Amino acid sequence: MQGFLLGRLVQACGVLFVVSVITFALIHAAPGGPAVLLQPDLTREQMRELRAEMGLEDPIAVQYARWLGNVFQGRLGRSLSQGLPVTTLIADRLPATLLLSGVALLVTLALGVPLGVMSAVRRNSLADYLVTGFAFFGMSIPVFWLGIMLIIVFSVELGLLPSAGMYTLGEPFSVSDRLRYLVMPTVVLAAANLAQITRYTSSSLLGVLAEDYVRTAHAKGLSERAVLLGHALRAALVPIVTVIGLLLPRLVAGAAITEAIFAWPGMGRLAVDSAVQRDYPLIMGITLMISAVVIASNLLVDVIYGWLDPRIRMKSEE
Amino acid sequence: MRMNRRSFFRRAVLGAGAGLLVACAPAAPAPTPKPAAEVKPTSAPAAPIQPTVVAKPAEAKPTEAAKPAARSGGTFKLPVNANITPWPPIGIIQNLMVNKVILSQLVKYNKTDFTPTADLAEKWSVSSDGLTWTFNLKRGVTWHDGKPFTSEDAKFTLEVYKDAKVNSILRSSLAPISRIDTPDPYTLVLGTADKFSSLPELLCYLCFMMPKHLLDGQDLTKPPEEFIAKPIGTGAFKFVEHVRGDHLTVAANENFHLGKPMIDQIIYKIIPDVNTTVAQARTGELDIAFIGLSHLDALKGAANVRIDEANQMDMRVVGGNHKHPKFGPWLQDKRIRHAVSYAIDRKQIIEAVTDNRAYPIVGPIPPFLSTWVNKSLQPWEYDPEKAKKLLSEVGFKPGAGGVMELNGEPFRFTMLSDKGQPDREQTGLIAQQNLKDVGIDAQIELLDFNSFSTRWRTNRDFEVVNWYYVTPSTPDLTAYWTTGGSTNEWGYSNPELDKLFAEARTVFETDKRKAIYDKVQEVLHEDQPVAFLYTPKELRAINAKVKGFPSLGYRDALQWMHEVSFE
Repeated sequence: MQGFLLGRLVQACGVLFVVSVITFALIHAAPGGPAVLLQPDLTREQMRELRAEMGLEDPIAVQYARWLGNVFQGRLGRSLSQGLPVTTLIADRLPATLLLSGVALLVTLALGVPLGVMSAVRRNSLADYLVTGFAFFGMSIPVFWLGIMLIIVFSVELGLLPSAGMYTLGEPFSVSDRLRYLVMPTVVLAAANLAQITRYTSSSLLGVLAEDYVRTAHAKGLSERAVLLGHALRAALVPIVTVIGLLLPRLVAGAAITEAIFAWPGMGRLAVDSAVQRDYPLIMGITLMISAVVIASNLLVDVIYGWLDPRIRMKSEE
Repeated sequence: MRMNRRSFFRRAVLGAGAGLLVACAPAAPAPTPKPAAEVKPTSAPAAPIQPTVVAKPAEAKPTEAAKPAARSGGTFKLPVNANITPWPPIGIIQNLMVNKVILSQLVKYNKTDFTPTADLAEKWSVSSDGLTWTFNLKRGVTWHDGKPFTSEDAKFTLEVYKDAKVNSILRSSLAPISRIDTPDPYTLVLGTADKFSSLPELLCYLCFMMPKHLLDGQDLTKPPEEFIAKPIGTGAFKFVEHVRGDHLTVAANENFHLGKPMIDQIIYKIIPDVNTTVAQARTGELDIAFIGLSHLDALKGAANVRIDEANQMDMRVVGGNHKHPKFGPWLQDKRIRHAVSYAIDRKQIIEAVTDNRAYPIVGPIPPFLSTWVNKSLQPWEYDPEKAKKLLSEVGFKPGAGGVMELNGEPFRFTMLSDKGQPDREQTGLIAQQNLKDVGIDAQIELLDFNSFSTRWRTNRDFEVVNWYYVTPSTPDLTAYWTTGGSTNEWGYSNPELDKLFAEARTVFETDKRKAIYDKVQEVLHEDQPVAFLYTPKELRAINAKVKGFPSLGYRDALQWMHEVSFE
């Protein structure tokens, strides 16, 4: 197991390096330059001087080497447009994104897995059709449309929920206040992922229910419930864990569109803003962090596979 | 064991969740401002004293004169659409919206005709040779941290804006200032190598005073971290907190030199999506939203909101690159420029794009700059027949697909614009159709703002743009329309105009300046370096209980926030 982890760690560093090279090359190849330098009233010569001052006139390779050198010393640099260290800006946004995406993921799982189980067990029943229909509905609605509709109905017309933001400004912190602000963005995020989880659970469970050992378990005289929860579901979870693994990076990457509609100060918006403003150090910092999380969640998924299915564990330890 | 693990997991999740909830809480609840304790009846400042030589247009109206200082309290909430960095030299819109209430200037535009009026300088005058300006600063003004504001601060600020290493929006505007002296703490003397009569007007434009005692000796090539985390100014409102990406709060400055503000707080909410701001204006979560025509329906019947229109310095134009290898030589021929201007139907554009909530413009000075606009000029008329006639006079002949050709070269160009702006997209479509009617083929290309600006402003790599620009409220548009001007992206050059702009700076009496700027406008009108289209009014939805929000575009209105109150 240790060897396995160590190998993966070395691999991870390699992947991060490649990702950083590609990102660096791409953002410098993109048309345009840092937004802070696009102010009127600077002549082209003055602009060039400022670019040189910022190191942007050096060859790309030199700029990359300088950036990499700083990273090895633990420095991600300062944002060009916001003037603050990249780490500060990421640290600002991370809690908000973790909160929203975390709650959304929990809601997705809490609803998605049971609904998927139900639709597999009661295959072709009315409940199955309803769940499936609902799942596809959620998946096919564009996020921005659902977001705006929710705002119109629940904030503007009914006045039940605040339309955007993270908490009531000027009021002391309270959990209930925070929850009120969480409802709509959570619904929007969960609606999009719920379908995936429900469908994967359902089809994976259907496959498992047809296996011989499930029939054996039935033959042993185990109750329906024991067969389902004790034997079938655990085996059926493997593909679901894969999907969850794919969703995990969103915990830190955020969801740009949902965050923009609900003015949620999360990572998704920070990432989009940094790209729009060609804020090179910030883009690099965010990409690096998200890549690290993607790699970590893949690793986590692999470990969980082993726990769920001994056959996989044995193979990887050979 | 199993139970333990499960309950441990449950606790861990709940614990982590609660931790997050707390982590995202604002550092401290915004302080509840004290009710109006002391109301200074004498807080209304004196009207600006007439400077000795500078002839002020009309009488200096005591715009901020004696008002019954009835404080209403309350919090005014307004939206900005991007992250705020309160660093004055970077004049990006969301930055300056905050700077306008936290910081002050030496002088600012008045509310009626945009002529300079007193801010931190209570009066100003120019020497008889026209080369030395003396600004007498108000006494007793303090920074938000209690330190006195003096001429040293003003000197320091101007030097920062002029510094070649600082990314500053005022670099070229302030370039003519060659000498800055501070004979005493309340006198600032500015020397210019040449006469510069528009200096006060340019000092009204984003020239926010910064505190020397907090910034001196720091590296100002980048926004200084401490200052942008807690900006200190002399403005009507003091910085309270900034939850980055979410909101920025400022509270009334009791010692504001123009009188204590009527409201307690302003909260800038960072809301990227304009639809969300419209919803928030309806629900009362915002007190103002800056909207487009398409949002009017959504606000119909909302009794708590009033729709308001305001004048703003925002010029919409379609113009070509005078230095383009192919079109540059063509644009030297006035007949071709005229043909383009005749071809575009401004009336149709104004009606379709703005629902007639706009002014047709005759040149770079909009009608509400009433002191300076040349009232004898008419907007360029729509006459496609004349356009065709002019083109054939030049030698254009209809070629393939009905596109006019000159010596086998088709009159075809790319018209650049920024993406996601319904105004400009519609204007582009109408102009495209208008031009097609006379045999000119305009291909529309939309770019994201950053790519657009880089091609247009930095690289000057464009054929034609369909664009807008904001200028200071002054007729002295030297930077925009003279040869090699810093904001003359068109590459337009007319020596006669260069001379007129230079001459206007040497004249100090308003009447005589006006006569020269009238001529400037005539030349530009006749030249049509670009097709001047219109100036839209700013549309906004305001909380019906708000009183005293000036009928000015928000860029200017925010400097009068101390007069705003709630019913």
